[in-house]
Amino acid sequence: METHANETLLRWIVLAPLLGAAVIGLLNRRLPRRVAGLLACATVGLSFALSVVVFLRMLGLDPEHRRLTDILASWVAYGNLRIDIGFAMDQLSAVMALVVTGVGFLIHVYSLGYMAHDDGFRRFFAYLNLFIFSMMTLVLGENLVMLFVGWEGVGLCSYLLISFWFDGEANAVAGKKAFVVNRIGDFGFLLGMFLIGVTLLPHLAPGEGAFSFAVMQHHAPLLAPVATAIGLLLFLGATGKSAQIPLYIWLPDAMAGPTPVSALIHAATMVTAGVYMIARMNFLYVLTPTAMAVVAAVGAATAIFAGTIALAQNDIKKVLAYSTVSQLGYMMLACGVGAFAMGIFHVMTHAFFKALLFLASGSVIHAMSHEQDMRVMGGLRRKLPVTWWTFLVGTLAIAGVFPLAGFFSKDEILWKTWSSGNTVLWVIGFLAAGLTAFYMMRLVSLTFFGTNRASEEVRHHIHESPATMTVPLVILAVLSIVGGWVGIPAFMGGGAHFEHWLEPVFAGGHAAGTHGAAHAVHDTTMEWILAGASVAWGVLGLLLGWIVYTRRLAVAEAGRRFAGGLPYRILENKYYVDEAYDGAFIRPGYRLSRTVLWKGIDAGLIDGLLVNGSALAVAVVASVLRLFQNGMVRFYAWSITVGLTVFVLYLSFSG
Amino acid sequence: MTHFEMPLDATSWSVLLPYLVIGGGGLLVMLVDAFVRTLKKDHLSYLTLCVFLASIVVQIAVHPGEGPRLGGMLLAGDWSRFFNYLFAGIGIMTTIFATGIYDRDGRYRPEFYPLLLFTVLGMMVLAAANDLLAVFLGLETMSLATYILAGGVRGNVRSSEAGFKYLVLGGFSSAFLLMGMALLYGYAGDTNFDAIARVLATGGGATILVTAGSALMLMGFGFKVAMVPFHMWTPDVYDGAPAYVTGFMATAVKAAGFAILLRVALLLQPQLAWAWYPVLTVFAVLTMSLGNLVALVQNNIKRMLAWSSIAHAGYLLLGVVTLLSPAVGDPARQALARTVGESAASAVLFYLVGYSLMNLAAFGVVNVLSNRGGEDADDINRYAGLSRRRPVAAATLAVALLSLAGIPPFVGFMAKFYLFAAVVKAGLVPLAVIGVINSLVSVYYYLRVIVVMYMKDTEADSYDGVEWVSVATAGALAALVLYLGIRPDAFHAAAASVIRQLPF
Repeated sequence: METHANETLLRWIVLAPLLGAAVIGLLNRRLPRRVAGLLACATVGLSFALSVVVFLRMLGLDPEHRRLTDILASWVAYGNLRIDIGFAMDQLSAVMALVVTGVGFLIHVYSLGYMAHDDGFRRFFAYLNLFIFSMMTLVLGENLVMLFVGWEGVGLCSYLLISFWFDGEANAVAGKKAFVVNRIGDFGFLLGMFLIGVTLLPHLAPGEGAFSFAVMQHHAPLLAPVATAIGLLLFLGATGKSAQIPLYIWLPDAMAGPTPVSALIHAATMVTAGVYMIARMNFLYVLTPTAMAVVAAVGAATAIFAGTIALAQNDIKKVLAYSTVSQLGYMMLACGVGAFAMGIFHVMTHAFFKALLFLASGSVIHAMSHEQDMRVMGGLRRKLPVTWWTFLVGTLAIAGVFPLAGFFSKDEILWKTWSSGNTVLWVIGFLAAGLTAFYMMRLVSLTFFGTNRASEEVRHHIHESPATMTVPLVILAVLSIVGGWVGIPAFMGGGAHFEHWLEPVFAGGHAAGTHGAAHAVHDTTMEWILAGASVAWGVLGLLLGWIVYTRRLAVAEAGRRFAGGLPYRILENKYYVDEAYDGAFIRPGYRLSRTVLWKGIDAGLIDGLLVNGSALAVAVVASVLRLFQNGMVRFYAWSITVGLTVFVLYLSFSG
Repeated sequence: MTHFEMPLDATSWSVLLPYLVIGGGGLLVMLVDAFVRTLKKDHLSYLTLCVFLASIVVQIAVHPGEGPRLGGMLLAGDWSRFFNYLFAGIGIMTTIFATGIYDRDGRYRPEFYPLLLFTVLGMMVLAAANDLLAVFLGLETMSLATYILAGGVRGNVRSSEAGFKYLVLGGFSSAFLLMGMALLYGYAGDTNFDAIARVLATGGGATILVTAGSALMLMGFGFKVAMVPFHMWTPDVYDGAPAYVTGFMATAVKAAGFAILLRVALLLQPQLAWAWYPVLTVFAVLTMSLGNLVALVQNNIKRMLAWSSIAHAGYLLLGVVTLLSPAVGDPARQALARTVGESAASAVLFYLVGYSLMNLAAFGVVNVLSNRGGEDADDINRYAGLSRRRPVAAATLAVALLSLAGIPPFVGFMAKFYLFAAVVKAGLVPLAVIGVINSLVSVYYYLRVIVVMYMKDTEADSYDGVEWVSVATAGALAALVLYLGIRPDAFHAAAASVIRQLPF
């Protein structure tokens, strides 16, 4: 293994937000609100600035040596097992770090305005800072265990922030749901990690960290026999965190949290952790076509499945939530077909436009006195000009309109899917792209066009948001436009800089993953055709959505009544998946818990026999033993003598 | 026999230096107390702290090399330095805790400080002993001073009773120990460990002498570390003695006892493992189980901690059992035997340190609270609502108790992990299972105190003057308990390197 350059700034990128969380969390009410908010923003801003500094340093290095490490200490060293507390930044981590701290900083600033009147202002920022710390641990962790520490940390913060307004029962339930569903995924993640450990440990030299990414990559051939199992187990973890089928169900409910949280955690950063992890472990996934195929299929299925559900949602944030699930499906699809760089590209552009959409929807909700139902909105175009224009940019970006950010990443994913020969998956992805455009335009039409359907009082209060909220919107809108330009593909005369930047990280992935890589070099006609088709398809979706929901409401009504309204009801009820899980797992679980586990095992066996029985036994034994502990020195001396006599007699007879 | 070279050469002096510092310091404290009239009552404690620190400094500065010195009397090097640091550290903590109490109750007892120093001197000699004579000398110096410490609260019936019981039973067990040494001397014709090892290796002499002798010696050491069935003095003495002395006895005396137990076990291991192994296995299991079972029903926190210290002696004995297990004795697989032996012995050392830290943290808090007046000051129910009235003290005690229960991320967990891992490595899975079940049982009585502190409320307790130096010291220990629980590596490696000095 080559040695890597040291960079002690990395630890401060991670630790600065932790410091902020600690100060705000511990001082809490003793800290003025203004100071708490500014401190939280400052620490994340510092993280971002340091990330930029390190990024610039990386630019100065030649591509093969762009891996900076910062090992703080050895954490576990037992036998052959060695785990360091350390951070590493390579091209992949650099992208993630910039996105997380950059978008995170904007959302912190936005929250200053959004949460200004909330009682839990300081607690909110403490959690938010803690989240950035955990996310940076996840992204910059030098080994899989550090990644897992961050993984659990963001899970915890997600839970805390979903149930941030814990006095509402629905919020608490949503937080619990997210936590429990993620546990199922984490179970898979842990098993995958253990499997890596048992496989690698016997072969390692002492002092080699088995879970260090560099070491794992170096020894990847050793993992080949169990790569499929590991890949699938880790992917189970990713389906939890990144809300894929079958564990996506927690994400829509997670919208119970404050909107900046939905933007930061449940759209831009945390939910992409699964994609990041799979991209990070690309050297493992390329060894297992089976796991790759599963990843791709699940991703494509999630993309279209969630897209259809989004068609029939009326809560503005629920639409965006299902849209997020669907977009995450695209990222997984990219990883599954071996286009890890494109998956990460989409992570980045999606972070821009989805954070923008969420924040803008937050601005709408803010203006509508915390109303989230789109059916009572409408006509907000004139009253919220900044929100309207930025929202429109976000919508065009997610719909894949040229030359906005979403076009480049989504189109590249579809192209890689096509060129790797997965025609079926391409069709699914293509259909889902049209759906995306349609439901997004439906959202825009219902919210911003037409006449306002809210009550008189609410209408009276509608106002544009303060600058702390609108400035981040504008910045994100700009990023949603230009963010994709770093990855303009070669056939359009661009340099595909993004792909080249990540190339050293995914060197193995490209060799084995994309069969069509060589094919792509000369056959640009097909790329042009597909790109044109997907733009046309997106614009068509947008137009349809606009026409149907602003001009021809009767058509929408007819569509709703189609076949007795059954398809609509199915979509509105999200395919009854929650109900199915409820019937298949949760209620039988409760029944099992009540009748067998509680009444039978807990009350009968454990309480009756083991607890009370053992308590009785202990009480009896202890009271007998107490008799021995009678305080009489003579008796103590006698017992010493007896013990000794037995020992000596034993020795005499056994020797 | 031992052969002193007179006059002593420079190396011998450098070996003796830490012992001279502590012993001379004890005399100095006595003289200062007797002759300096303008003495304020804190001054002796500062002087004592200086003596302990000086002993640490000289050991950092002066390295007399490795191996037996002073005619084979004492073992110099990392092993003895490890224990000397531990004893000095515990001595410093005990001095701080004791001083805090003196300040409050006004019953100023200057004899405490020189006695503490002499106890530590005895322990240092005991841990470094390489000769039966040194063993006895160290053990008796330690014990005599501890008897007085335990009975040190004059006018308090329970303390006097504790001191007296400890004296009578301690004398009783010392007689057996001395008898065992005599038998061993009769067998080997020498008191030096290396000489005994040579005679044992050649297999000369009457076997009955060495088996009976080792049995009597095991009993003597077992008494000091509170091994069942030689434990019965423990609850009475721990309960009666003032809490800072109890904390000292539960940590330093136990560590000294295990130091010599390890030495003797290693000495006799090649020839006598067959005899010691099954007996010690039974004793270890009994010690763990009895300690935990009886601790379950205690309502007095000092008695509870006394029984818990018996249980911990049981865990530690598992390490000694592992050293004597067939896996270590197996000549066919020497490399494996060595790693197992080393990991067991280093686990015992790590455990001793971790256990000392968490126990001192617990006793530091119990100590200030047991001084708040009332016969029931140590009753667990008096700890109700402590978290609200004294959050730092309550948090410190909670950390210490969680660690004692072996819950991560505290050092108690790592200590148990290393220990049980060594036990498993030796192939003694049933013993490890018994150990784990035992620590599960122990969770109940440790958590009970935490529940009372944090989840029960009570009317304001009249006592509010928690002495902050003691609490801060205990808090620092609790922080160390957490730190070593998260980052045990460096320290575990140090313990392992200490072990490598010993013969295997």
